[in-house]
Amino acid sequence: MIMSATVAELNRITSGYPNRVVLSDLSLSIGKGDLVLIEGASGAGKSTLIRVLMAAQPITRGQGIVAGTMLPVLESSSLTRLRRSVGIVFQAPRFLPQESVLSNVALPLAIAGLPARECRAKGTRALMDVGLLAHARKKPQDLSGGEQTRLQIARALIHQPLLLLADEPFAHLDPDSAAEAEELLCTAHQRGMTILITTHRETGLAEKACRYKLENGRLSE
Amino acid sequence: MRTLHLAFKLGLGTLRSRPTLTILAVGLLALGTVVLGGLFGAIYLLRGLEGELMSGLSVEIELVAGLSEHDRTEIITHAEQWPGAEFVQYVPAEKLLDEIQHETGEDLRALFGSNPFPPIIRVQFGFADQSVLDSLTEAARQWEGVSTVAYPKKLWGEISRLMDRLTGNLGIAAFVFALIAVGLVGLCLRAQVRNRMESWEFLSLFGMSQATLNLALLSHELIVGITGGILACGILLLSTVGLSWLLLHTISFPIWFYLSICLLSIALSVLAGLFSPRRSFRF
Repeated sequence: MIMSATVAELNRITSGYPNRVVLSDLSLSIGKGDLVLIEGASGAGKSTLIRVLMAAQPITRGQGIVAGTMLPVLESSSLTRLRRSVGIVFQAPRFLPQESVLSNVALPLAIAGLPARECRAKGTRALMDVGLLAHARKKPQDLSGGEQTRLQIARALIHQPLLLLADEPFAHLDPDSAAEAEELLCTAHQRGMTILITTHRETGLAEKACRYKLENGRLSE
Repeated sequence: MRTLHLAFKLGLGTLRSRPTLTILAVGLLALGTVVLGGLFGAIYLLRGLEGELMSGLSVEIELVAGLSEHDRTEIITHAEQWPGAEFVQYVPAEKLLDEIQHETGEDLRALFGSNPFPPIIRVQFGFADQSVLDSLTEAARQWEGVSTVAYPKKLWGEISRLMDRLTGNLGIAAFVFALIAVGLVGLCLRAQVRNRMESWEFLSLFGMSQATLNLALLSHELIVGITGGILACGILLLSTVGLSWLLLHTISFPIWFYLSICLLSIALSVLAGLFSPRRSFRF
């Protein structure tokens, strides 16, 4: 694994909720092209870590840099820039239910203000890459769990982010669907994508990844 | 353009997610605007009534006996040029006597032995405040050929004070109603946004800017405001038709009044949005 540049770096971060500290003095460095696997039990703070990296969770101490944006984010424009530089796969699939699969996959492009024609073209290609082109006109809630995860991965990659964050992407999938999702993430990593995945169970990506264990709010190798 | 489209859809989706709250927000807004519109309409009608009452009153400039026509014409010209003066009329002594005898029903010539009234110049105003009348009275007293100048100052003052007090009270009531409407509509809008908070946060996580999210909120408020405004205009229109029928007197408002009601409704809705959902709206 060659680390040519740092995509994300957290330096002694503390974060949590009013009556509970979830991440305590946590440090992490992710280089360009890295595949990082964060393992931890339920409630260990994996989702909070993802939210910190998305600047959706306030940090009470420490600082960091994600995709060139300093944490904590002080300006609205920096927040927008950060989030447009990051792709996200949610633990529980989240879509715009009234929109088609094609519109959902192209959502990051639409939000970035790309013309509709370009959104459609890139969306079609992204759906083709994950084998969902036949479902382009369906609504996302009509897809199976595995298909929804593939759709999420396609959506997270469509705008070629600097960092892909996947929060328990295999949590609710059967072994076959999990293997398909792992395959997609592995392919993206081989193409040079920087990826951070959180999981609470064994995954086939473990051999290729930098593995960390999240326990008591801190990371250990 | 795509972003604006998304923002509009998000605003519309938020409204559609809780139809009961939408109906409540629109209804409250329409009701608040109707009350406000009714109060402003009452102020408008009162001011019109004041104008009508004022045009019924007049300043009377009494002339000395035997005044030449040239001097009289000069006084008439002065009066006509006075700000707000709408109608200036010369009333000879005989005609004035006839008018007063007609009003009182008494033979005043027989009572006094001769005509006790001087010729006068009567000045009527379309719309004027007391300072204009006082300034005319003061000035006219200095004009040559004028013996005295009079107008029902006390009555005029009473009318003005009454109208001012009514307008002030109605204005305060309107302000209080506006505050209540803004508060209640704001609560409805906030409940709707909270209900769809996940969608708002979801789009924010994909990089939708705060400005675009604010646009979505604005579209949400505009839809409520416009709908509430149209409903309020409908209610006001029906009310005026009903009142006209009941009172057997046509009550109507000009088109700009209804446009103002629509704008007022939109302004209240946006104001409610500014005070309520946006305060806790940061992702």
